[in-house]
Amino acid sequence: MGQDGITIAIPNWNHEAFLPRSIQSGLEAVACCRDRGIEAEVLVIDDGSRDGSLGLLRTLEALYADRGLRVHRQEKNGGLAAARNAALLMARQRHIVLMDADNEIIPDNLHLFHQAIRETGAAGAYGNLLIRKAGHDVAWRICSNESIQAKIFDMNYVDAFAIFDRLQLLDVGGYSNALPAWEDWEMWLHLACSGRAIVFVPLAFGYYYELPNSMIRSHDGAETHLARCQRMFNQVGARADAPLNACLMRYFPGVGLL
Amino acid sequence: MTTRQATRFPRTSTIDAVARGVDEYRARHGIDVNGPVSLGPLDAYLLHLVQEFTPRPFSIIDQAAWTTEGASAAVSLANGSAARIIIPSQPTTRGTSRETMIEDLVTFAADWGTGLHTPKTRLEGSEARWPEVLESVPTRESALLVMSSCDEMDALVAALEAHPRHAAVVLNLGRFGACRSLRDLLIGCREGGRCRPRLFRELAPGLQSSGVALIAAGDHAFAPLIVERIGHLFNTNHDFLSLVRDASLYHVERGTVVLAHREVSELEAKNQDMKNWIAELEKHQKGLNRRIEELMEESARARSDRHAAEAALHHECTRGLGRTLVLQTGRRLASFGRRNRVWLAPPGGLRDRLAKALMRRQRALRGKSGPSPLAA
Repeated sequence: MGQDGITIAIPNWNHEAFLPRSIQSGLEAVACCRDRGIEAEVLVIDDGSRDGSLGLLRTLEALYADRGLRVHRQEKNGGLAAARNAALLMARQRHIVLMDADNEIIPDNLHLFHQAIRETGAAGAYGNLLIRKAGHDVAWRICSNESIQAKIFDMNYVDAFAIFDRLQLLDVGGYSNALPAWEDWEMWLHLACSGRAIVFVPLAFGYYYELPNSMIRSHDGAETHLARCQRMFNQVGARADAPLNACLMRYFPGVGLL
Repeated sequence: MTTRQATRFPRTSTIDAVARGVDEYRARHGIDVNGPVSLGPLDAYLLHLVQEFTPRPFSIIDQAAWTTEGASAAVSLANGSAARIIIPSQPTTRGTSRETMIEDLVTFAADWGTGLHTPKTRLEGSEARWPEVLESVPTRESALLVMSSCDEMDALVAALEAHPRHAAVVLNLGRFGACRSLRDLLIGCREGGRCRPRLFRELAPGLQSSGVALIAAGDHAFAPLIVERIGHLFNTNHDFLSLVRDASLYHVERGTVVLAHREVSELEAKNQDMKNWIAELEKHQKGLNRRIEELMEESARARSDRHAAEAALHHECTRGLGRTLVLQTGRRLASFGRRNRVWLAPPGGLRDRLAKALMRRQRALRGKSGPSPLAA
C-alpha cells in the first residue's frame, strides 16, 4: 500500500472553540487531495485537554471518520513538542502538516506543497501565512514569506505551520522541549544544521490567527530562551559564512527551483 | 512504498556503539577479527541501520554469520528488531559448528543485549540451506538476507527475483574491477531484471569505505526508502568539494593578507624615510631662516647708518660759510689739543683740571642739545 500521502496533524490543548474551524479546513484539504489522487487524513492529537475538547472530538470522529478524521488522546499533558512527536509516530502517511488548533489551512494549495516536497526531497516545505486577528476574516499582514537564510539564526520568521517529511523528522529525533515556546524555531534550525533541505514555496499555505494570551507572548523567560537558542546554534556568529543546504531554496511546482 | 516502519523513533545510535558490541562478542569468544570476512565498524553500523529502518515483522537469514564468525548475527541480536535470526547450514565444513556459534551468540545476547533493550529476537539454527529457508518464510513476513561476498551472487539474485518481497544485504564487496562478487552481482542485476543493487558507498563521501550493498527489487516496498534515509543521515551541509574550496580560499585569502601586510610594512618604512627627510629639511630651513633674519637686521642697521651719514652730509652741505669756517677751525684746534695734551695740559696740572671741568660742562650741555659741533 502506498503511503506517500499527507497527514494533517492538529495538536490540541484546550482549544475547543477553534477545533471545528481547523478540522473543517483540514477535511476540505483532504477532499481536495483525494480528488487529485493523493491519499490524506486529518489526525488530531489531544494533549490532555480539560476544556471539553475530548467530548467534541469524540463526536466529530464518529461523524467524519469516513472522511479521514482520526483522533488520538495523550492521557497526560506533555507539551507541544510531545504532542507533535506523537503526531509523527501516529501518522499513517509519509508527509505531515503540523497545524495548530487555532489556525486554518487553505485546501486548494496543499497539493502543490505536497508536490514541492516530493520533488525536492526536502525535510520541510512552507509558504506564506496570512495573519488574521481573532474575529476578523481579513488578513492584516503576512509571515513565513522568505526562504531560509542565515538570518534565521538570529530570529525566527518561519512558523511551524508547514508540511514535513515525517521520516526525516523522526530520523533527526523529532521535536525537542528544550526550548518551550520556541519548538518550531528549534526544529527549523536543527534541520538546517543537519544538512536537510527546507524549501519555500511562494504560495499561501494557510491562515494564522493571532489570539490574546498566545503562548509565545505570555511565556516567561522568552528572552532567556531566545538567548539560549542563539547560543545553541550560532554562539560565535559563524552561520552567516557557513554552508547551508537549506539556504535560499525557493521552489514552485512545475517550474522548479527559483 | 510503505512507511509502516515509522512508528517509533529510530535508534540511529553511533558507529562506535554498534562496533563495541561486535568487539565485545569477538573478545569474549576469542574470534579472530581478520576472518574470511571482517565486519568493520562502518559496515556493522550500516547493517544495524538497515534493520532499524525495515518494517516489522521481519526475519533475518544470516548466511554471512559463517564468514564473519558470527559478528553479523551479533549486530542483529544487539539491534533486536528482527523477530528471528536464522542461521542456515554452512556451505562447507568450517572450524566452528553451528551449535557452538549459536551458543556463543545466545550468551552474548544475554549479557550484552539486555544492556541495550529487551531482547525479543529468537536465534535459530536450520539444517536447510538458505534458499530453502527463504522459501519457508511466511507470506505475512518479509526476510532480510545477510550475505557476504564469499556467497553465490547468482543464486542470490535468482532467489530475490523469485521472491521480490525480500531483500538482501551483501557485506564485504570490493571495488569495481577488483571484486568478482560485485561483477557477478552486476551481471545478475542486468537491464530488464527486477533486482537492483544499491551500494551504500555511492550515497555520501563519508561512506566511501563501505563494502555493503542492499539488493532488492526495483519496486520493493521499503528498500529504496531505507537507502534514502541512510543517505540523509550521512549527508550534511558540508561536502568534500566545498570543504576543499573553503580551505583553498582560506589559504588564498591568508596569503593575500600576508602580502598586503608586507606591502604595508614597506610603505610604512618608506613613509618613515620621508618623514626623516622632511625633518632634516625643516631643520635646514630653520637655519636658513635664522641667517635670513640676521642678514635683514644687518641690512636694517646699514640702512640706518646710511640715513645718518646722509643726514650729516646734508647738514654739512646746508650749513652757512661763516659757521663752517668757525667750526672747521675749532675742530682743528680740538684735534691739535687732543694730540698734544701731554705738554699742553700735563696730568694733574691746573690746565688739565680746567680742561676737564670745561669738558664736563660741555658734556652736560650736550646731553640736552645733542652732539658737540666740534666732533669730526
